[in-house]
Amino acid sequence: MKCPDKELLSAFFDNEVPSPYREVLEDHIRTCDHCSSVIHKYAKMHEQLLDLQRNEIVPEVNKGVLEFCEKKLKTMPATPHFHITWPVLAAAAAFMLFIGIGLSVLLFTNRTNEIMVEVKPATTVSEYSLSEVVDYLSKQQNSRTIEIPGQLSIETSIQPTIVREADFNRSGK
Amino acid sequence: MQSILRKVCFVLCISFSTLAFTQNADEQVFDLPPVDAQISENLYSELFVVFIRTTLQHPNGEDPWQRHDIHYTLNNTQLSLNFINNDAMAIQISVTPQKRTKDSLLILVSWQLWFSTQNNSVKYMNSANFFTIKPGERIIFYPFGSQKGHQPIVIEILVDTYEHAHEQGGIKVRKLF
Repeated sequence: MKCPDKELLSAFFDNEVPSPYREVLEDHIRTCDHCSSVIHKYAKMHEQLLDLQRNEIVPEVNKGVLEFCEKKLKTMPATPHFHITWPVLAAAAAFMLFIGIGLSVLLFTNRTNEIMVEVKPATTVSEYSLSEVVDYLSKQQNSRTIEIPGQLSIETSIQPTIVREADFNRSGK
Repeated sequence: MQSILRKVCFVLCISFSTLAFTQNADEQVFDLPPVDAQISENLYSELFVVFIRTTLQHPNGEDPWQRHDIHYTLNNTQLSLNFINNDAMAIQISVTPQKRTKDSLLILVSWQLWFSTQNNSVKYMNSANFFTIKPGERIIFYPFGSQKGHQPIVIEILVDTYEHAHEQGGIKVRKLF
């Protein structure tokens, strides 16, 4: 038979192994030097622990410990008593609520970054006039036209900007 | 104790109602136009409302010119909008919305811009951007830049699902400026 592990031997020593396994282990330990030495060690350890419990504390030492504890108790500052009132609790709850709302707003508005494409500078197109462009656009199907009135003065060095509302508000424009 | 609690509740109620009132004061509601007859009612779950508000700002501080338009488009279907000023410029913006989750949309905004210069030549630019937005959120486009004094046109594009817009009784838009 293969030697049982230490956990099983410890359980055997503590009388925790039920029959018929107990009898099988007894037979093995009787014939196995290694296992019987382990059991012997457990027995020795057990004996030492029992001795430790039986020894009485020397009265002088006991007295000294008591005096030390009394002194310590006298010199220790009194534990402050916190009395939590309802308004304090309500204020704490409100504070936690605001922190929670703030955090959730921050988390939900921090969406994936948009794919922002760099806009190339304007190219001069000499092949056609603006009226031809307008004519071409107005003839396109499935498109809606919005007329913008007045005379516009357009800067030549323009830089078109397109932004999501959330980012527009964040930038404070 | 009870009187303190009552006071705390009163202060909180006043603060929340003031906040709600100021939020509502900045908000405009635009009625939805009838849906195009060629769009079947079975497709309303796929339908998007595109609200466009165009603002022309005057550099000398006059009241800005403003108009709004509401159009419909289907999921993954492009809607093209032409903004035309015969003398100076033409802009084409194409908006393609796509429903991702209940609370998020992906929209592709592509634009083309033509404008005439003082020596009568025509300049051309184009670009495209993807945005992940919440239903009812806006994209703000400054075709001529956003720096103060150089922003004659501001185009706000709000995309919402038809169902959401219909439920809330129209398109709710907050003031931009």
